[in-house]
Amino acid sequence: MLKFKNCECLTQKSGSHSKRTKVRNPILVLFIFLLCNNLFAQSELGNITFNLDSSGINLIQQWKVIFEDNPEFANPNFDDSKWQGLESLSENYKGVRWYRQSINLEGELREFDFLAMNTSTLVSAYEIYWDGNLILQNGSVSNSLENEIAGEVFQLAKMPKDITTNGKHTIAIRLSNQNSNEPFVYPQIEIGYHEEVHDVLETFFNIQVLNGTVFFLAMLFNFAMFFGGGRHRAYLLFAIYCFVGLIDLVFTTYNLQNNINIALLPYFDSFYYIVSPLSLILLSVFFINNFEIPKRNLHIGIIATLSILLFLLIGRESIFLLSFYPIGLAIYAVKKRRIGSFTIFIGITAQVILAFLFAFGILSFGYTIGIIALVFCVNLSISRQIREQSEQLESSRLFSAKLETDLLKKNIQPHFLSNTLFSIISWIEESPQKAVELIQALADEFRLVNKIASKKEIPLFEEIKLCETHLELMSLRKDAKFKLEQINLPESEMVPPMIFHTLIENGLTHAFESGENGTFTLSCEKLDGNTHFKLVNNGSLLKELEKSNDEQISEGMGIRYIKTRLEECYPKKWEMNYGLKDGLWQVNILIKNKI
Amino acid sequence: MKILIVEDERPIAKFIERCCKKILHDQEALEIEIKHTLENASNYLFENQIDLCLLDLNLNGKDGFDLLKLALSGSFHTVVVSANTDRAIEAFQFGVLDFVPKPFDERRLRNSFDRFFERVELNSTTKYLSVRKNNENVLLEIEEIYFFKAAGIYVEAHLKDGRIELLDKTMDRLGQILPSNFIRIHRSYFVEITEIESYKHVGGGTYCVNLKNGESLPLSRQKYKELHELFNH
Repeated sequence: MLKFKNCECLTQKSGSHSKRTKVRNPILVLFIFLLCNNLFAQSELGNITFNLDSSGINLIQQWKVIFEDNPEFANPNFDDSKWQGLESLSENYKGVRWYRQSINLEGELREFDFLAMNTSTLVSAYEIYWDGNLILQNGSVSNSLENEIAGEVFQLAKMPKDITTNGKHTIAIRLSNQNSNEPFVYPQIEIGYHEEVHDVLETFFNIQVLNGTVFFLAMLFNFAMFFGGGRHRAYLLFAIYCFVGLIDLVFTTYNLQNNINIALLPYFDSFYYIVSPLSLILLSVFFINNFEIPKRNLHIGIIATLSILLFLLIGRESIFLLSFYPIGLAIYAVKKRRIGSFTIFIGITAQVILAFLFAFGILSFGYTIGIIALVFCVNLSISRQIREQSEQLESSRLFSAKLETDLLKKNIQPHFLSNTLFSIISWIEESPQKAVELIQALADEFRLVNKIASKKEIPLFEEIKLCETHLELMSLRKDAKFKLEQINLPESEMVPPMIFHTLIENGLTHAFESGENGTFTLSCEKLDGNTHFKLVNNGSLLKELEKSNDEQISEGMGIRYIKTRLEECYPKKWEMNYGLKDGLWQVNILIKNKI
Repeated sequence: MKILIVEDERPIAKFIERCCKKILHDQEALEIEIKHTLENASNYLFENQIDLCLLDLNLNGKDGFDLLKLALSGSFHTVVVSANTDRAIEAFQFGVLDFVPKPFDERRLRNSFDRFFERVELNSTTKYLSVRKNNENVLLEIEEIYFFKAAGIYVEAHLKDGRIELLDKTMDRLGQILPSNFIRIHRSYFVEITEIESYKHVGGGTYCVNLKNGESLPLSRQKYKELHELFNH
């Protein structure tokens, strides 16, 4: 997000020079330039004219300088032709020096207004002379840090009507910047009618208050949605982002109404240079979290590194370029078709565009509208995501319930239960002992099924136990011997319930001649993190399948059940195939990258 | 009397066999054959004449209705024995004599034999008859049938579209599974009751029925009385 420090150019030491950029945000320089419709030609020193009939604010940034201290320098008749021009100067000097510039006033002074100079960009102690008269003293100028007394930031030098007569006037500045971390000062003074200079300040103040209100409400709303709702992290992250934005605004707006000491400026500065990238990092974190963008820490690292690099290499003002990083993340999310990403992309893009329109002075409430657009789109996007999530949750709950019902149904379906009961009846006469065994096996199977019915995964040994119970039961029913051989099985590994049970059930139904004994062999192999289960049976009926067509092994209920379970547990990370191999029926289940 | 039991689970097959033996202990020359697979059963049916087939409809998991169609096209009666009670209605529509849900006991099986020996009134809901044609079993919709005519040991089904299909059934066994809208007007004829236009005494102790399509069929004297009562009440 772009953070324009629009008020600062009026209250603090923003300044621009051909060699060094002193303003925090270059766009703001443009903004100021646009406000000053009487931009003085850069080259013509000493020929500045201000027409009193026109309106607007004039920026004076061409000065002659001398690194000496003499009260005579304030005298309008003093010859400063040997002084240096500022534009060719690259200095590191904090002691007392004088700047001089002359200005020509034309036209007629308004009857109910007077001229004022905004000197708020100067640091850190200075005196302003108008035609040799001291009109503003801010702090106490000195050649040593101990003796200098820093002034206050916000200064408006009001000029009595009787000294702003038509003709040439001389502005002289006596200045030292011991209490500032600036190496040198390139003064920028705005001169205009008091009403207009004041209006600009007031407009900024109002916009800042408005922006702060938007941030504050959005913050409260998002905190409320977080704590009152389902504790969705998106709300919390965005609330924190708004909080930082609010803190920043409060800090910068405070300057406008309450003057602070220039000596404190470095602290305000460092605060800004922490908050600005922090705000961008927070917005990026919000996007990364919300749109499941991979390599979260890498992105945060890139933003942090970029802000440091921009700070060191291009200058601290260029940090605003990072505003495009969250837009990039939003574009990525749109490409990946993340829910609500387009809404947020619209929001952030609108916000940046509107902020630019604001910065170029085209739309005075652009920044405010931009924040509102962002807040609206973000909240719309979050609520859409939450709706989607809750719908998914609901359907997955229904799905789990359906699977559980399927599982239970398998065991009470008449084909299984009635036939088993009938087998018991049949055995009672012939062999009561076997009838009892069959009842026992049925009870065991029911107990096991009941235990696992609601689980998504069960340990393999439970599944094996279930298979063995089933085989025992079926042995009694079919009056044959069925058994399960186990090779290399990781017993504690978790598997979806009743997968192998279903396969064995299918095998028993299809593979064996009446009265035929059978063996199932379940083996497990682990390779490259993949788990490969193989279930083989030696039934005689399926061996003949090769000769006939495959119609009979079309996907039945059982296979569908297994596939649904595998997909539920290992989405898109499983494979299953079955067929005859070496004359034996074989089912292969491959689970990829099982943890 | 010859009975075929088709059941893939041996203990159950043995149980059914024991039940049959108890119920039919007074039958002379009782022969009970057990087959465990579809294939063995159809081979057996191909070579042997039987009177009744007790059929498990869930044979080896394959659709037992395939075998059912085969069984129903035969001259014998079929009793379905199955745990899938939800398919009972369907089975009756195909013309089975009875549907016995598993598990059952001797008493329930005895009911089926009562039906077989016509000791109880049947209320048939048969909708289809199975006909073997070119080694395939084709279903005839009963609604499409005008009347049945005896033809030696077979029965001719005269269809409304003029086709005549040959059923491997005796008139008596067909009568047991036909729905009540078919009445037997003669030793050799079943007619769909709504197709009768008129009936009359032709003279010389001969009666006949005129059908709506103009055909006339013989009517026995005894059935004339029944018909007369039916139409005048």
